Amino acid sequence: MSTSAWLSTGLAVLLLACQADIKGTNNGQTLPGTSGAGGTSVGAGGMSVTAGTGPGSDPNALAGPSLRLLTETQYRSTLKSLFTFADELSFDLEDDVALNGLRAIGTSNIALSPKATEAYFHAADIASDRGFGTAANAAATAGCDVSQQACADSYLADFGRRAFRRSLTADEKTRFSGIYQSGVSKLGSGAAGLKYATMAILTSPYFVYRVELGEAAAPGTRALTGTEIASKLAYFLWNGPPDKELLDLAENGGLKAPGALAAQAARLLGSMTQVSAGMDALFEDYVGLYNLGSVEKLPARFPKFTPALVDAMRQETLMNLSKAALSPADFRSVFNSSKSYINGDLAQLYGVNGVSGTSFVQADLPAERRGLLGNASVLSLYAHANVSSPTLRGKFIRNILMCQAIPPPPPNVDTTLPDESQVKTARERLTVHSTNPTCASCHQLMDPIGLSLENFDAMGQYRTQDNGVTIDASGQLDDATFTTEAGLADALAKSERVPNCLSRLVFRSAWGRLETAADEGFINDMTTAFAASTYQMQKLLTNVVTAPSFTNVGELDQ
Amino acid sequence: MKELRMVHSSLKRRAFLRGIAAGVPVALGLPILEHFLGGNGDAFADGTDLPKRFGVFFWGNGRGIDAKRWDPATVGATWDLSPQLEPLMAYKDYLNVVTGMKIKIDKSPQGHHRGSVGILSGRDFIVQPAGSAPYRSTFAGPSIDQTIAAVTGAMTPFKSLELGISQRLDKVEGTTLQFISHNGPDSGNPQEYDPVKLFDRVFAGGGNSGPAQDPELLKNVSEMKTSVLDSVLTDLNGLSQRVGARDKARLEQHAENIRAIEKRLSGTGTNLSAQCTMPTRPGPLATNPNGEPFEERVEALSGVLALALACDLTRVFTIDFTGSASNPVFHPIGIDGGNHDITHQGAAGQDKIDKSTIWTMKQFGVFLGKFMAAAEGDSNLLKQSAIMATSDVSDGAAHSIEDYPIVIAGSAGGFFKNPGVHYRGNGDNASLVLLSLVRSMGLPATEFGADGGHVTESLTGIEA
Repeated sequence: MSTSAWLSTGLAVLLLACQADIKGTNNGQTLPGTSGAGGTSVGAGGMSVTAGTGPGSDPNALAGPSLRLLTETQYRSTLKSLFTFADELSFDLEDDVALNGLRAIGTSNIALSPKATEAYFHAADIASDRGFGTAANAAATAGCDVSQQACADSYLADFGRRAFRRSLTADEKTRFSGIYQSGVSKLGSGAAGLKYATMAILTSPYFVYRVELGEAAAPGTRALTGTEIASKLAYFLWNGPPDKELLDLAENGGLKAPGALAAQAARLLGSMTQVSAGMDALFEDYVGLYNLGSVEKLPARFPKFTPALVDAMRQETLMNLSKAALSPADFRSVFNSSKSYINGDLAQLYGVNGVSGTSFVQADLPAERRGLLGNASVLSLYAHANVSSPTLRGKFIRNILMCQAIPPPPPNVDTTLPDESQVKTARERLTVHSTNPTCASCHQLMDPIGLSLENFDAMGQYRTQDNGVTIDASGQLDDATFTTEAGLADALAKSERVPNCLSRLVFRSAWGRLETAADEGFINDMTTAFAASTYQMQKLLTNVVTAPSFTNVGELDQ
Repeated sequence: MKELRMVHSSLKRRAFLRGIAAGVPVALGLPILEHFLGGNGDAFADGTDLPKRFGVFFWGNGRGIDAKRWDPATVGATWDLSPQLEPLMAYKDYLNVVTGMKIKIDKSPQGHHRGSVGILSGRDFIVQPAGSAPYRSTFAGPSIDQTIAAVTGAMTPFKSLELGISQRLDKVEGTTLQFISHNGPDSGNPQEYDPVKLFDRVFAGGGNSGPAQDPELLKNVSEMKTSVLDSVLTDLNGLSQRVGARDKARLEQHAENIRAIEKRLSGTGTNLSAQCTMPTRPGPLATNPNGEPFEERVEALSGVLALALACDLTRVFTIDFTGSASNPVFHPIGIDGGNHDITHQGAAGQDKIDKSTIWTMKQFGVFLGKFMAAAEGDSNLLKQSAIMATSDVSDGAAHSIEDYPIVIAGSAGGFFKNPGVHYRGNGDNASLVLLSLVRSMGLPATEFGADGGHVTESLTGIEA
């Protein structure tokens, strides 16, 4: 075979590879429903490692439940619901691990390390010591005479119920009461007894995991119990535990009454402080903002890239997304809005007049900066330490905003790009991506998108020139062409793939796993209803948490 | 599945240092317990050998395109350090350099994942559904440090310690690039970057200790904490009956971690005062205005690690100097781009990678210096150790896994050649080195790895 024939054959295969992924992902077929269906069985301990896949090899079986670790934020929020002094406590927890880009999915998959387990033990020690380390603190925390068994038992029953998000079993009550009694006899005080009994509760797996396993219902389906539904609802919408009203309703059976879940969802969505925390967690995962703290920019080139500014970047994006999600507006406006929540530092970075100080206000942006892709957080995250990266930015838009897979570069391909000593602009640097057919098949799906963001440097500062050469920011997203970031922003806001991908995000975050083939119908229904509501995120959230699917899981994996 | 076969009973011996009670400050012994040593200084008074330690020093993105910068020019016992290994001159007698080996796992072409998992566990990795991430993979089985720690951990308070220097990790492609130490799939052991936290964890029971209290009180407190942990184990056991297979494995790992805390608690009340004096708590790590405090962190963490090893608080450690495929900026040597990025920048990038590799070996040398300075009878901590320094690729530009960079520092108490040699393979299986390392710790293993990484022989050419 001649070289050119080989090249064209190779090109055809690669083009197909990228196109197949794009097409497949669009209808959900290259997502885990096919490639990982049924669980990948591996050697060690016979573990099945594919998250949330159903039993056997039936790709249409509903995925079984997984225990979900509380994220660090959820842990702290839950502790705060237990102790009025929780904010005073100082302790470390292991960092959350993102899988499939989402920390919400990490919680269902990661096994605790020894270090992470020790951190829980010490956090429980610190919290219980603050609550019961002295007689005065113990009296204040328990609100009764802690030397009396009746006081201890009643405190532990209530504390345990709030900590486990369900009432304690009789065995548990007996066991925790026994620890109290043992503390009284060994250490001579009711306070000490309660300290170790509460420590046992806070170190328990029923505290650190969300246990939403369901009970056997129809074949292939397990129904979540009332308290499990309450837990799933509250940790998703509030990023925190169910409050008293929700827990009471769950335990007296009221949550399963017709309309009750919808009423509770509406109540939770209307409680702005708590639901904002839930939206922040959702969108921090969406954009990958949890990585922003470890982004590096060369200090000599980017002296403005300070921790304070980085924190402001994160806040800006969360406020824009969370506030849009909780308003009746078309959520797609976040992609091309002419306004943003900024503080003085960001106003200076963006060239906005009239905003100063540390508080955030919604301000009009300069004409060249529109929507999410104009946020310095996104522009910084998806760039290099020294220069911008149209490829990384394009990949972010394909992978994360449009749920489209791009395969990694093939092995043994020369991935060398010229550096700044050889070429002046990113467009020149990436020429090889469009001229070498091996690269072009996939890079044509990323680079033309990212090149329209070239008016923003590696930390999101607007510029018209790169190394003294005027920037050509023309670009293309599927059938849309444009010459500025604003053009890309409009194209993205109109893309049909973006709302479908948001439905997937909501599903993945609420369920803690990737969708499988069995979930595609549900996701498509949610996307259709999302469109019918003119893309109100609140409606999408409501539809998801009140759907019958929300309260069902599949069989346990074997 | 091929599993490491070993005989646990032959390794049993008295754990001579009970360790640190979680939450209770205790006095620790002299670095290595002179009064336990027998007359000839190479063994304990009861005749057992001095402990051996296993470590991994890992850096990301390989040694660059030009193998001659890394590979020593001559093979055998008479060899000179290559330019990139030159910073290790002071420890040359303790080095066995192994070149020409190949990572033989090939199920997936994903470059950095393949090399990392291949050299650290000797088997294929698991490719997982990626969702909105570019890729996702995890280890299929334990990394070599955990294979060894599964045996040595029974003899020390901590099964293993995981340290890291650069925090600029790739966190979007699953656990493989985030953690070098794995217990199994999606079960990584996260690195500690803070010397104060490492110190508090190993020397002060987690940092929440009060002032020293009377022994009776300490005993009662320890018993109460044990009852807390027993309660947790009861809950873990009960929950385990109700979950699927995957969660059962997660809960078993959780329970093992709880039992490890309990084991340390049970050391409370034993007389440790003659064994290891409490070292000084390090101060907080200085920040560096130019970026990550690499050299400051190396200096501080290496000091705490050497002490923890000298006091026999663990025998297994890993150091994730820079993560697989990661993008730290090496500002101390004037590099102006991310480390992974510069592997893909042609000739100009290669000069930077060369400089970076030399500097990385210099930082490795800081650890080795601390180890060599810690005397143990007639030996020293470096001689008693085997530390594998390696990377996720040989040449990052092509993601090559041939002619792999592997250095073993320390002779594992005389197991490896000392003075060391330059051994050059001919595309041989890199797992041969891994089986040597497992055996060097006294484990009577007859095979290692799985898939293309499975071997039944060790690399005798570097063994004494």
